Amino acid sequence: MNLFIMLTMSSITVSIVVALNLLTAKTSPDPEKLSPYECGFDPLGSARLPLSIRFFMVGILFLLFDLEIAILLPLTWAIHTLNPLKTITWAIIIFLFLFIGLAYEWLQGGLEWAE
Amino acid sequence: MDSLTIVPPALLIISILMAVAFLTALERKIMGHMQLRKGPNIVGPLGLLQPFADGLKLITKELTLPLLATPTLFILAPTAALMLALAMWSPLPMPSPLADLNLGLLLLLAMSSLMVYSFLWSGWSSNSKYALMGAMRAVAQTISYEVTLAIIVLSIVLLSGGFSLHTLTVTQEPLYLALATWPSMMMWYTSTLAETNRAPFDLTEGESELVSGFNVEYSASPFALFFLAEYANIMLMNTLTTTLFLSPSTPTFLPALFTIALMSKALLLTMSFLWVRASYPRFRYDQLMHLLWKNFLPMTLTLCLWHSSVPMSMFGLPPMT
Amino acid sequence: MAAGKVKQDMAPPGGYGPIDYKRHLPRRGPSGYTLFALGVGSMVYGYYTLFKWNRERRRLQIEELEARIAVFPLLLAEHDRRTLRLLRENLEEEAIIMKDVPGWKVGETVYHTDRWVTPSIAELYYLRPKAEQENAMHGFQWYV
Repeated sequence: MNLFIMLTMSSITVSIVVALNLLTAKTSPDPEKLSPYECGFDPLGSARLPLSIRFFMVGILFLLFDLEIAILLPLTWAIHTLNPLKTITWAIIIFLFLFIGLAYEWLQGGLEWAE
Repeated sequence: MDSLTIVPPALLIISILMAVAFLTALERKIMGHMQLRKGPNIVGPLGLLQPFADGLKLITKELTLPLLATPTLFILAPTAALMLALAMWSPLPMPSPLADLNLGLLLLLAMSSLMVYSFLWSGWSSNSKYALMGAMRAVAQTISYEVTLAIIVLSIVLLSGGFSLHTLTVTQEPLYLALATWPSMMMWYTSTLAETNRAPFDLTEGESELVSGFNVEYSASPFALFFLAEYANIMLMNTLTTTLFLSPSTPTFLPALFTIALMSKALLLTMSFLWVRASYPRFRYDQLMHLLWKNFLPMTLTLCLWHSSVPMSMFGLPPMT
Repeated sequence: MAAGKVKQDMAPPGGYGPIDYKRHLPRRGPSGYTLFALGVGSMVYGYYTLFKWNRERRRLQIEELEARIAVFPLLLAEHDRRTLRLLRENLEEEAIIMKDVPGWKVGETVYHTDRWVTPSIAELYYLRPKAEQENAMHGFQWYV
Protein backbone atom coordinates (compact mmCIF):
# COMPACT_ATOMS: atom_id res chain seq x y z
CA MET A 1 0.00 0.00 0.00
CA ASN A 2 2.75 2.43 0.95
CA LEU A 3 4.50 1.60 -2.28
CA PHE A 4 1.44 2.56 -4.30
CA ILE A 5 0.97 5.73 -2.29
CA MET A 6 4.63 6.57 -2.89
CA LEU A 7 4.24 5.99 -6.63
CA THR A 8 1.12 8.15 -6.73
CA MET A 9 2.68 10.90 -4.64
CA SER A 10 5.83 11.01 -6.73
CA SER A 11 3.87 11.15 -9.98
CA ILE A 12 1.81 13.99 -8.52
CA THR A 13 4.99 15.84 -7.51
CA VAL A 14 6.44 15.42 -10.97
CA SER A 15 3.22 16.53 -12.66
CA ILE A 16 3.13 19.63 -10.45
CA VAL A 17 6.61 20.60 -11.63
CA VAL A 18 5.65 20.22 -15.30
CA ALA A 19 2.31 21.97 -14.80
CA LEU A 20 3.98 24.91 -13.02
CA ASN A 21 6.33 25.24 -15.93
CA LEU A 22 3.49 25.18 -18.45
CA LEU A 23 1.58 27.80 -16.45
CA THR A 24 4.37 30.23 -15.62
CA ALA A 25 6.65 30.11 -18.65
CA LYS A 26 6.19 32.46 -21.55
CA THR A 27 6.39 30.58 -24.85
CA SER A 28 7.36 32.10 -28.16
CA PRO A 29 7.80 29.21 -30.57
CA ASP A 30 9.45 29.66 -33.92
CA PRO A 31 10.43 27.05 -36.52
CA GLU A 32 14.17 27.42 -36.01
CA LYS A 33 13.90 26.93 -32.26
CA LEU A 34 11.68 23.90 -32.62
CA SER A 35 13.68 22.06 -35.27
CA PRO A 36 15.82 19.15 -34.05
CA TYR A 37 19.29 20.17 -32.97
CA GLU A 38 21.87 19.29 -35.62
CA CYS A 39 24.83 21.69 -35.65
CA GLY A 40 22.74 24.58 -36.85
CA PHE A 41 21.71 22.93 -40.09
CA ASP A 42 18.33 21.68 -41.15
CA PRO A 43 18.21 18.01 -40.18
CA LEU A 44 19.34 15.66 -42.92
CA GLY A 45 17.34 12.48 -43.35
CA SER A 46 15.34 10.58 -40.79
CA ALA A 47 16.67 10.54 -37.26
CA ARG A 48 15.12 7.19 -36.43
CA LEU A 49 16.73 4.94 -39.00
CA PRO A 50 20.51 4.93 -38.48
CA LEU A 51 21.41 2.56 -35.68
CA SER A 52 24.48 0.44 -35.08
CA ILE A 53 23.59 -3.24 -34.92
CA ARG A 54 26.07 -3.60 -32.02
CA PHE A 55 23.60 -2.00 -29.62
CA PHE A 56 21.01 -4.54 -30.66
CA MET A 57 23.52 -7.34 -30.04
CA VAL A 58 24.21 -6.01 -26.56
CA GLY A 59 20.49 -5.96 -25.90
CA ILE A 60 20.15 -9.60 -26.88
CA LEU A 61 23.16 -10.60 -24.80
CA PHE A 62 21.65 -8.79 -21.83
CA LEU A 63 18.37 -10.65 -22.29
CA LEU A 64 20.10 -14.03 -22.37
CA PHE A 65 22.27 -13.42 -19.34
CA ASP A 66 19.59 -11.73 -17.30
CA LEU A 67 17.16 -14.55 -17.97
CA GLU A 68 19.66 -17.12 -16.79
CA ILE A 69 20.36 -15.05 -13.72
CA ALA A 70 16.62 -14.91 -13.10
CA ILE A 71 16.73 -18.72 -13.07
CA LEU A 72 19.43 -18.50 -10.40
CA LEU A 73 17.55 -16.08 -8.15
CA PRO A 74 15.72 -18.77 -6.10
CA LEU A 75 19.12 -20.18 -5.14
CA THR A 76 18.76 -18.23 -1.91
CA TRP A 77 16.04 -20.60 -0.78
CA ALA A 78 17.27 -23.60 -2.72
CA ILE A 79 20.45 -23.89 -0.64
CA HIS A 80 18.26 -24.84 2.32
CA THR A 81 16.89 -28.04 0.83
CA LEU A 82 17.42 -31.27 2.70
CA ASN A 83 19.85 -32.46 0.05
CA PRO A 84 22.30 -29.62 -0.54
CA LEU A 85 24.38 -31.74 -2.90
CA LYS A 86 21.53 -31.83 -5.39
CA THR A 87 21.07 -28.08 -5.16
CA ILE A 88 24.73 -27.35 -5.70
CA THR A 89 24.88 -29.79 -8.61
CA TRP A 90 22.04 -28.03 -10.37
CA ALA A 91 23.47 -24.63 -9.52
CA ILE A 92 26.78 -25.65 -11.01
CA ILE A 93 25.02 -26.91 -14.13
CA ILE A 94 23.26 -23.57 -14.61
CA PHE A 95 26.49 -21.69 -13.95
CA LEU A 96 28.18 -23.91 -16.52
CA PHE A 97 25.52 -22.92 -19.05
CA LEU A 98 26.35 -19.30 -18.32
CA PHE A 99 30.10 -19.85 -18.56
CA ILE A 100 29.88 -21.86 -21.76
CA GLY A 101 27.54 -19.29 -23.26
CA LEU A 102 29.94 -16.53 -22.35
CA ALA A 103 32.94 -18.43 -23.73
CA TYR A 104 31.07 -19.18 -26.96
CA GLU A 105 30.09 -15.55 -27.38
CA TRP A 106 33.64 -14.49 -26.63
CA LEU A 107 35.18 -16.90 -29.15
CA GLN A 108 32.67 -15.96 -31.83
CA GLY A 109 33.62 -12.31 -31.38
CA GLY A 110 30.24 -11.17 -30.16
CA LEU A 111 31.85 -9.21 -27.35
CA GLU A 112 34.18 -7.23 -29.58
CA TRP A 113 32.91 -3.72 -30.07
CA ALA A 114 35.07 -2.51 -32.94
CA GLU A 115 36.46 -4.80 -35.61
CA MET B 1 -6.39 3.91 6.09
CA ASP B 2 -6.70 7.57 6.86
CA SER B 3 -5.46 10.83 5.43
CA LEU B 4 -2.29 10.63 7.53
CA THR B 5 -1.08 7.81 5.29
CA ILE B 6 0.25 10.28 2.78
CA VAL B 7 2.48 12.02 5.31
CA PRO B 8 5.44 9.60 5.37
CA PRO B 9 5.73 9.37 1.56
CA ALA B 10 5.46 13.14 1.31
CA LEU B 11 8.20 13.62 3.89
CA LEU B 12 10.38 11.10 2.09
CA ILE B 13 9.88 12.85 -1.26
CA ILE B 14 10.64 16.26 0.22
CA SER B 15 13.81 15.02 1.90
CA ILE B 16 15.01 13.27 -1.27
CA LEU B 17 14.44 16.37 -3.36
CA MET B 18 16.24 18.54 -0.80
CA ALA B 19 19.16 16.11 -0.65
CA VAL B 20 19.34 16.02 -4.44
CA ALA B 21 19.26 19.82 -4.66
CA PHE B 22 22.13 20.17 -2.25
CA LEU B 23 24.00 17.33 -3.94
CA THR B 24 24.07 19.34 -7.17
CA ALA B 25 25.37 22.35 -5.25
CA LEU B 26 27.97 20.14 -3.56
CA GLU B 27 29.08 18.73 -6.88
CA ARG B 28 29.54 22.15 -8.41
CA LYS B 29 31.42 23.37 -5.35
CA ILE B 30 33.72 20.36 -5.22
CA MET B 31 34.38 20.39 -8.94
CA GLY B 32 35.14 24.07 -8.64
CA HIS B 33 37.64 23.67 -5.85
CA MET B 34 39.30 20.69 -7.51
CA GLN B 35 39.83 22.80 -10.62
CA LEU B 36 41.02 25.81 -8.57
CA ARG B 37 37.84 27.74 -9.21
CA LYS B 38 35.41 29.03 -6.65
CA GLY B 39 32.22 27.33 -7.78
CA PRO B 40 28.85 28.96 -7.22
CA ASN B 41 29.18 31.55 -4.46
CA ILE B 42 26.77 34.37 -5.23
CA VAL B 43 23.26 33.15 -4.41
CA GLY B 44 22.77 32.97 -0.67
CA PRO B 45 25.51 32.37 1.91
CA LEU B 46 28.44 30.52 0.24
CA GLY B 47 26.24 29.86 -2.77
CA LEU B 48 24.02 27.55 -0.74
CA LEU B 49 20.82 28.77 -2.38
CA GLN B 50 22.17 28.14 -5.88
CA PRO B 51 20.16 24.92 -6.47
CA PHE B 52 16.91 26.70 -5.63
CA ALA B 53 17.77 29.55 -7.97
CA ASP B 54 18.54 26.99 -10.68
CA GLY B 55 15.31 25.14 -10.05
CA LEU B 56 13.29 28.34 -10.14
CA LYS B 57 14.99 29.36 -13.36
CA LEU B 58 14.34 25.98 -14.95
CA ILE B 59 10.63 25.93 -14.19
CA THR B 60 10.07 29.46 -15.45
CA LYS B 61 11.81 28.84 -18.78
CA GLU B 62 10.08 28.03 -22.02
CA LEU B 63 9.14 24.39 -22.41
CA THR B 64 10.07 23.68 -26.02
CA LEU B 65 8.44 20.79 -27.77
CA PRO B 66 10.38 20.06 -30.99
CA LEU B 67 8.19 19.98 -34.07
CA LEU B 68 9.19 16.48 -35.10
CA ALA B 69 9.03 15.01 -31.61
CA THR B 70 6.41 12.60 -30.34
CA PRO B 71 4.82 14.88 -27.74
CA THR B 72 3.30 12.38 -25.29
CA LEU B 73 6.37 10.21 -25.02
CA PHE B 74 8.59 13.28 -25.00
CA ILE B 75 6.97 14.57 -21.82
CA LEU B 76 6.36 11.13 -20.35
CA ALA B 77 10.01 10.05 -20.41
CA PRO B 78 11.43 12.56 -17.88
CA THR B 79 8.29 12.21 -15.78
CA ALA B 80 8.79 8.47 -15.58
CA ALA B 81 12.47 8.96 -14.80
CA LEU B 82 11.94 11.09 -11.71
CA MET B 83 8.89 9.11 -10.63
CA LEU B 84 10.89 5.88 -10.63
CA ALA B 85 13.87 7.52 -8.99
CA LEU B 86 11.64 8.70 -6.14
CA ALA B 87 9.68 5.48 -5.78
CA MET B 88 12.87 3.42 -5.62
CA TRP B 89 13.60 4.89 -2.21
CA SER B 90 10.58 3.25 -0.59
CA PRO B 91 12.09 -0.18 0.24
CA LEU B 92 15.36 1.24 1.61
CA PRO B 93 15.72 0.67 5.36
CA MET B 94 16.68 3.95 7.01
CA PRO B 95 16.32 2.06 9.46
CA SER B 96 12.63 1.27 8.93
CA PRO B 97 11.59 1.24 5.29
CA LEU B 98 8.52 2.98 3.94
CA ALA B 99 7.44 -0.25 2.26
CA ASP B 100 8.68 -3.31 4.12
CA LEU B 101 8.96 -5.76 1.24
CA ASN B 102 10.44 -9.19 1.64
CA LEU B 103 11.74 -9.00 -1.93
CA GLY B 104 12.95 -5.42 -1.65
CA LEU B 105 16.22 -5.99 -3.49
CA LEU B 106 14.40 -7.54 -6.43
CA LEU B 107 12.05 -4.56 -6.52
CA LEU B 108 15.06 -2.22 -6.59
CA LEU B 109 16.62 -4.17 -9.45
CA ALA B 110 13.37 -4.17 -11.39
CA MET B 111 12.80 -0.45 -10.90
CA SER B 112 16.33 0.42 -11.91
CA SER B 113 15.80 -1.66 -15.04
CA LEU B 114 12.71 0.40 -15.77
CA MET B 115 14.87 3.54 -15.75
CA VAL B 116 16.25 2.32 -19.08
CA TYR B 117 12.87 2.94 -20.69
CA SER B 118 12.93 6.60 -19.81
CA PHE B 119 16.30 6.98 -21.60
CA LEU B 120 15.07 5.05 -24.60
CA TRP B 121 11.77 6.93 -24.83
CA SER B 122 13.42 10.32 -24.52
CA GLY B 123 16.01 9.52 -27.16
CA TRP B 124 13.56 8.03 -29.60
CA SER B 125 10.77 10.55 -29.16
CA SER B 126 13.08 13.55 -29.59
CA ASN B 127 13.50 12.54 -33.24
CA SER B 128 17.01 13.90 -33.33
CA LYS B 129 20.15 12.00 -34.30
CA TYR B 130 22.21 13.04 -31.32
CA ALA B 131 19.42 12.15 -28.93
CA LEU B 132 18.91 8.73 -30.50
CA MET B 133 22.62 7.91 -30.42
CA GLY B 134 22.91 9.09 -26.84
CA ALA B 135 19.92 7.00 -25.85
CA MET B 136 21.35 3.92 -27.58
CA ARG B 137 24.63 4.34 -25.76
CA ALA B 138 22.87 4.92 -22.44
CA VAL B 139 20.65 1.88 -22.87
CA ALA B 140 23.44 -0.47 -23.94
CA GLN B 141 25.65 0.67 -21.08
CA THR B 142 22.94 0.56 -18.43
CA ILE B 143 21.59 -2.85 -19.33
CA SER B 144 25.09 -4.31 -19.59
CA TYR B 145 26.06 -3.17 -16.15
CA GLU B 146 22.76 -4.36 -14.73
CA VAL B 147 23.87 -7.92 -15.39
CA THR B 148 26.73 -7.59 -12.91
CA LEU B 149 24.56 -5.71 -10.46
CA ALA B 150 22.07 -8.57 -10.45
CA ILE B 151 24.78 -11.22 -10.01
CA ILE B 152 26.45 -9.32 -7.18
CA VAL B 153 23.11 -8.83 -5.45
CA LEU B 154 22.48 -12.55 -5.77
CA SER B 155 25.83 -13.49 -4.29
CA ILE B 156 25.37 -11.07 -1.37
CA VAL B 157 21.89 -12.40 -0.77
CA LEU B 158 23.28 -15.94 -0.62
CA LEU B 159 25.33 -14.82 2.39
CA SER B 160 22.55 -12.91 4.11
CA GLY B 161 19.64 -15.26 3.50
CA GLY B 162 16.86 -13.16 2.01
CA PHE B 163 16.06 -10.49 -0.53
CA SER B 164 14.70 -8.21 2.16
CA LEU B 165 16.95 -5.24 2.84
CA HIS B 166 16.32 -5.55 6.54
CA THR B 167 17.97 -8.98 6.55
CA LEU B 168 21.13 -7.33 5.29
CA THR B 169 21.36 -5.03 8.27
CA VAL B 170 20.86 -8.01 10.57
CA THR B 171 23.59 -9.93 8.74
CA GLN B 172 26.04 -7.11 9.18
CA GLU B 173 25.65 -6.79 12.92
CA PRO B 174 29.06 -8.28 13.75
CA LEU B 175 30.96 -6.87 10.76
CA TYR B 176 30.63 -5.15 7.42
CA LEU B 177 30.06 -7.48 4.51
CA ALA B 178 32.65 -5.39 2.67
CA LEU B 179 35.33 -7.11 4.75
CA ALA B 180 34.43 -10.53 3.39
CA THR B 181 33.27 -9.57 -0.08
CA TRP B 182 35.45 -6.63 -1.00
CA PRO B 183 36.10 -7.90 -4.55
CA SER B 184 32.36 -7.87 -5.14
CA MET B 185 32.11 -4.47 -3.59
CA MET B 186 34.76 -2.98 -5.84
CA MET B 187 32.99 -4.32 -8.92
CA TRP B 188 29.63 -3.22 -7.55
CA TYR B 189 30.87 0.32 -6.98
CA THR B 190 32.28 0.58 -10.49
CA SER B 191 29.06 -0.84 -11.88
CA THR B 192 27.00 1.71 -10.01
CA LEU B 193 29.17 4.42 -11.54
CA ALA B 194 28.35 3.04 -14.97
CA GLU B 195 24.71 2.37 -14.11
CA THR B 196 24.09 5.99 -13.16
CA ASN B 197 25.97 7.20 -16.28
CA ARG B 198 28.56 9.04 -14.24
CA ALA B 199 32.08 9.98 -15.25
CA PRO B 200 34.29 8.19 -16.30
CA PHE B 201 31.44 6.21 -17.85
CA ASP B 202 29.38 9.21 -19.00
CA LEU B 203 29.57 8.24 -22.65
CA THR B 204 25.93 9.07 -23.09
CA GLU B 205 26.70 12.76 -22.90
CA GLY B 206 30.10 12.88 -24.52
CA GLU B 207 30.13 16.61 -25.18
CA SER B 208 32.53 16.46 -28.09
CA GLU B 209 30.53 13.95 -30.12
CA LEU B 210 26.97 13.97 -28.86
CA VAL B 211 26.56 17.43 -27.31
CA SER B 212 24.48 16.20 -24.41
CA GLY B 213 23.23 12.74 -25.28
CA PHE B 214 19.63 11.72 -24.95
CA ASN B 215 18.49 15.01 -23.44
CA VAL B 216 19.71 17.42 -26.14
CA GLU B 217 16.23 18.43 -27.09
CA TYR B 218 15.01 18.94 -23.55
CA SER B 219 14.64 22.28 -21.91
CA ALA B 220 13.04 23.77 -18.81
CA SER B 221 11.22 21.43 -16.43
CA PRO B 222 11.60 18.13 -18.36
CA PHE B 223 15.33 18.74 -18.33
CA ALA B 224 15.18 19.52 -14.63
CA LEU B 225 13.31 16.24 -14.09
CA PHE B 226 16.05 14.28 -15.88
CA PHE B 227 18.68 16.09 -13.87
CA LEU B 228 16.93 15.42 -10.56
CA ALA B 229 16.38 11.78 -11.51
CA GLU B 230 20.06 11.30 -12.26
CA TYR B 231 21.17 12.73 -8.94
CA ALA B 232 18.45 10.96 -6.98
CA ASN B 233 19.70 7.76 -8.56
CA ILE B 234 23.25 8.50 -7.49
CA MET B 235 22.15 9.02 -3.90
CA LEU B 236 20.00 5.90 -4.06
CA MET B 237 22.76 3.73 -5.46
CA ASN B 238 25.17 4.86 -2.78
CA THR B 239 22.65 4.29 -0.02
CA LEU B 240 22.13 0.83 -1.47
CA THR B 241 25.88 0.22 -1.52
CA THR B 242 26.00 1.25 2.12
CA THR B 243 23.15 -1.08 3.01
CA LEU B 244 24.67 -3.97 1.09
CA PHE B 245 28.28 -3.70 2.14
CA LEU B 246 28.83 -1.13 4.88
CA SER B 247 25.62 -1.33 6.85
CA PRO B 248 25.89 0.44 10.19
CA SER B 249 25.29 -2.03 12.99
CA THR B 250 22.52 -0.85 15.24
CA PRO B 251 24.24 0.71 18.25
CA THR B 252 22.38 -0.44 21.30
CA PHE B 253 23.20 2.71 23.22
CA LEU B 254 21.67 5.07 20.69
CA PRO B 255 19.59 3.45 17.94
CA ALA B 256 18.69 6.90 16.64
CA LEU B 257 22.22 7.15 15.26
CA PHE B 258 21.45 4.53 12.60
CA THR B 259 20.12 6.99 10.06
CA ILE B 260 22.98 9.41 10.54
CA ALA B 261 25.57 6.66 10.22
CA LEU B 262 23.89 5.28 7.10
CA MET B 263 23.54 8.59 5.37
CA SER B 264 27.02 9.83 6.20
CA LYS B 265 28.49 6.66 4.72
CA ALA B 266 26.31 7.10 1.65
CA LEU B 267 27.48 10.70 1.45
CA LEU B 268 31.13 9.64 1.64
CA LEU B 269 30.56 7.25 -1.26
CA THR B 270 28.81 10.02 -3.18
CA MET B 271 31.75 12.30 -2.52
CA SER B 272 34.02 9.74 -4.08
CA PHE B 273 31.69 9.69 -7.12
CA LEU B 274 32.46 13.40 -7.44
CA TRP B 275 36.15 12.83 -6.81
CA VAL B 276 36.21 10.16 -9.52
CA ARG B 277 34.50 12.58 -11.88
CA ALA B 278 37.14 15.20 -11.19
CA SER B 279 40.04 12.78 -11.57
CA TYR B 280 39.53 10.31 -14.38
CA PRO B 281 39.27 10.79 -18.14
CA ARG B 282 36.33 9.31 -19.99
CA PHE B 283 36.40 5.70 -21.18
CA ARG B 284 36.17 4.66 -24.79
CA TYR B 285 32.98 2.81 -25.64
CA ASP B 286 34.71 -0.45 -26.57
CA GLN B 287 36.71 -0.28 -23.34
CA LEU B 288 33.46 0.12 -21.42
CA MET B 289 31.93 -2.97 -22.99
CA HIS B 290 35.22 -4.85 -22.67
CA LEU B 291 35.38 -4.07 -18.96
CA LEU B 292 31.93 -5.44 -18.34
CA TRP B 293 31.57 -8.44 -20.62
CA LYS B 294 35.15 -9.68 -20.47
CA ASN B 295 36.27 -8.76 -16.95
CA PHE B 296 33.38 -8.17 -14.60
CA LEU B 297 30.97 -10.80 -15.89
CA PRO B 298 33.31 -13.83 -15.59
CA MET B 299 34.57 -12.63 -12.22
CA THR B 300 31.15 -11.97 -10.74
CA LEU B 301 29.84 -15.30 -12.04
CA THR B 302 32.75 -17.09 -10.39
CA LEU B 303 32.21 -15.19 -7.15
CA CYS B 304 28.52 -16.05 -7.25
CA LEU B 305 29.31 -19.74 -7.56
CA TRP B 306 31.85 -19.35 -4.75
CA HIS B 307 29.29 -17.66 -2.54
CA SER B 308 26.72 -20.37 -3.15
CA SER B 309 29.08 -23.24 -2.43
CA VAL B 310 31.32 -21.97 0.38
CA PRO B 311 28.58 -21.28 2.95
CA MET B 312 27.19 -24.72 2.20
CA SER B 313 30.49 -26.52 2.67
CA MET B 314 31.54 -24.50 5.73
CA PHE B 315 28.11 -24.77 7.38
CA GLY B 316 27.73 -21.02 7.32
CA LEU B 317 24.33 -20.91 5.69
CA PRO B 318 22.13 -18.06 6.79
CA PRO B 319 18.70 -18.87 8.25
CA MET B 320 15.89 -19.09 5.75
CA THR B 321 13.52 -16.20 6.24
CA MET C 1 96.27 39.48 -24.60
CA ALA C 2 93.23 39.59 -22.39
CA ALA C 3 93.08 35.84 -22.12
CA GLY C 4 93.67 35.87 -18.42
CA LYS C 5 90.79 38.26 -17.72
CA VAL C 6 87.95 36.15 -19.11
CA LYS C 7 87.14 33.10 -17.07
CA GLN C 8 86.27 30.26 -19.39
CA ASP C 9 83.32 28.11 -18.35
CA MET C 10 84.76 24.69 -17.85
CA ALA C 11 83.65 21.39 -16.48
CA PRO C 12 84.24 21.03 -12.76
CA PRO C 13 87.53 19.38 -11.92
CA GLY C 14 87.16 15.64 -12.24
CA GLY C 15 84.34 15.95 -14.79
CA TYR C 16 80.58 15.91 -14.39
CA GLY C 17 78.88 13.29 -12.29
CA PRO C 18 77.00 10.41 -13.92
CA ILE C 19 73.78 11.42 -15.64
CA ASP C 20 70.76 10.67 -13.52
CA TYR C 21 68.61 8.95 -16.12
CA LYS C 22 66.72 6.47 -13.99
CA ARG C 23 63.13 7.27 -12.95
CA HIS C 24 62.71 7.99 -9.28
CA LEU C 25 59.23 6.83 -8.45
CA PRO C 26 58.23 7.50 -4.87
CA ARG C 27 57.42 4.47 -2.76
CA ARG C 28 53.64 4.40 -2.90
CA GLY C 29 52.27 2.50 0.05
CA PRO C 30 52.79 -1.16 0.85
CA SER C 31 53.95 -3.64 -1.74
CA GLY C 32 51.70 -5.81 -3.84
CA TYR C 33 52.32 -8.91 -1.75
CA THR C 34 51.38 -7.05 1.43
CA LEU C 35 48.19 -5.77 -0.17
CA PHE C 36 47.31 -9.24 -1.42
CA ALA C 37 47.93 -10.73 2.02
CA LEU C 38 45.85 -8.00 3.64
CA GLY C 39 43.02 -8.62 1.19
CA VAL C 40 42.99 -12.37 1.65
CA GLY C 41 43.34 -11.95 5.40
CA SER C 42 40.34 -9.63 5.55
CA MET C 43 38.34 -12.08 3.46
CA VAL C 44 39.24 -14.99 5.71
CA TYR C 45 38.43 -13.01 8.83
CA GLY C 46 35.22 -11.74 7.22
CA TYR C 47 33.99 -15.17 6.16
CA TYR C 48 34.91 -16.66 9.54
CA THR C 49 32.98 -14.03 11.49
CA LEU C 50 30.09 -14.05 9.04
CA PHE C 51 29.68 -17.82 9.12
CA LYS C 52 29.87 -17.86 12.91
CA TRP C 53 27.18 -15.19 13.03
CA ASN C 54 25.07 -17.08 10.48
CA ARG C 55 25.18 -20.20 12.68
CA GLU C 56 24.14 -18.05 15.63
CA ARG C 57 21.33 -16.60 13.53
CA ARG C 58 20.14 -20.10 12.65
CA ARG C 59 20.05 -20.99 16.33
CA LEU C 60 18.12 -17.82 17.05
CA GLN C 61 15.69 -18.66 14.29
CA ILE C 62 15.17 -22.16 15.67
CA GLU C 63 14.45 -20.63 19.06
CA GLU C 64 12.02 -18.22 17.47
CA LEU C 65 10.22 -20.99 15.63
CA GLU C 66 9.99 -23.08 18.80
CA ALA C 67 8.62 -20.14 20.72
CA ARG C 68 6.04 -19.68 18.00
CA ILE C 69 5.08 -23.34 18.14
CA ALA C 70 4.75 -23.11 21.90
CA VAL C 71 2.63 -20.00 21.82
CA PHE C 72 0.52 -20.97 18.82
CA PRO C 73 -2.31 -22.67 20.73
CA LEU C 74 -2.69 -19.52 22.80
CA LEU C 75 -2.81 -17.34 19.69
CA LEU C 76 -5.38 -19.68 18.17
CA ALA C 77 -7.47 -19.53 21.34
CA GLU C 78 -7.31 -15.75 21.34
CA HIS C 79 -8.44 -15.68 17.75
CA ASP C 80 -11.32 -18.07 18.41
CA ARG C 81 -12.37 -16.06 21.43
CA ARG C 82 -12.44 -12.86 19.42
CA THR C 83 -14.49 -14.55 16.71
CA LEU C 84 -16.96 -15.97 19.19
CA ARG C 85 -17.36 -12.65 20.98
CA LEU C 86 -18.11 -10.90 17.70
CA LEU C 87 -20.55 -13.66 16.76
CA ARG C 88 -22.38 -13.31 20.08
CA GLU C 89 -22.66 -9.55 19.69
CA ASN C 90 -24.08 -10.09 16.23
CA LEU C 91 -26.62 -12.63 17.49
CA GLU C 92 -27.76 -10.37 20.32
CA GLU C 93 -28.25 -7.53 17.88
CA GLU C 94 -30.08 -9.88 15.54
CA ALA C 95 -32.42 -10.91 18.33
CA ILE C 96 -33.23 -7.25 19.07
CA ILE C 97 -33.81 -6.42 15.42
CA MET C 98 -35.85 -9.47 14.48
CA LYS C 99 -37.95 -9.79 17.65
CA ASP C 100 -41.14 -8.72 15.79
CA VAL C 101 -40.84 -11.33 13.09
CA PRO C 102 -42.79 -14.45 14.04
CA GLY C 103 -41.04 -17.75 13.66
CA TRP C 104 -37.57 -16.24 13.31
CA LYS C 105 -34.87 -18.36 14.82
CA VAL C 106 -31.88 -16.33 15.92
CA GLY C 107 -28.56 -17.75 14.82
CA GLU C 108 -30.01 -20.30 12.43
CA THR C 109 -27.32 -21.28 9.99
CA VAL C 110 -27.92 -20.58 6.32
CA TYR C 111 -25.78 -23.49 5.28
CA HIS C 112 -27.13 -26.98 4.81
CA THR C 113 -24.50 -28.62 6.96
CA ASP C 114 -23.73 -29.46 10.56
CA ARG C 115 -20.09 -28.55 10.23
CA TRP C 116 -18.58 -25.34 11.55
CA VAL C 117 -18.42 -22.72 8.82
CA THR C 118 -15.85 -20.01 9.48
CA PRO C 119 -17.70 -16.71 9.26
CA SER C 120 -16.31 -14.26 6.74
CA ILE C 121 -14.79 -10.99 7.90
CA ALA C 122 -17.64 -9.00 6.39
CA GLU C 123 -20.12 -11.16 8.30
CA LEU C 124 -18.25 -10.80 11.57
CA TYR C 125 -17.60 -7.08 11.44
CA TYR C 126 -20.81 -5.72 9.94
CA LEU C 127 -21.82 -4.13 13.21
CA ARG C 128 -18.37 -2.70 13.91
CA PRO C 129 -17.02 0.59 12.54
CA LYS C 130 -15.85 0.52 8.94
CA ALA C 131 -12.23 1.18 9.93
CA GLU C 132 -12.14 -1.99 12.05
CA GLN C 133 -13.41 -4.12 9.21
CA GLU C 134 -10.89 -2.61 6.78
CA ASN C 135 -8.14 -3.19 9.28
CA ALA C 136 -9.13 -6.83 9.64
CA MET C 137 -9.25 -7.29 5.88
CA HIS C 138 -6.29 -5.27 4.62
CA GLY C 139 -4.43 -4.19 7.75
CA PHE C 140 -1.32 -6.14 6.93
CA GLN C 141 -1.03 -4.78 3.41
CA TRP C 142 -0.85 -1.21 4.57
CA TYR C 143 2.66 -1.67 5.78
CA VAL C 144 3.93 -2.90 2.44
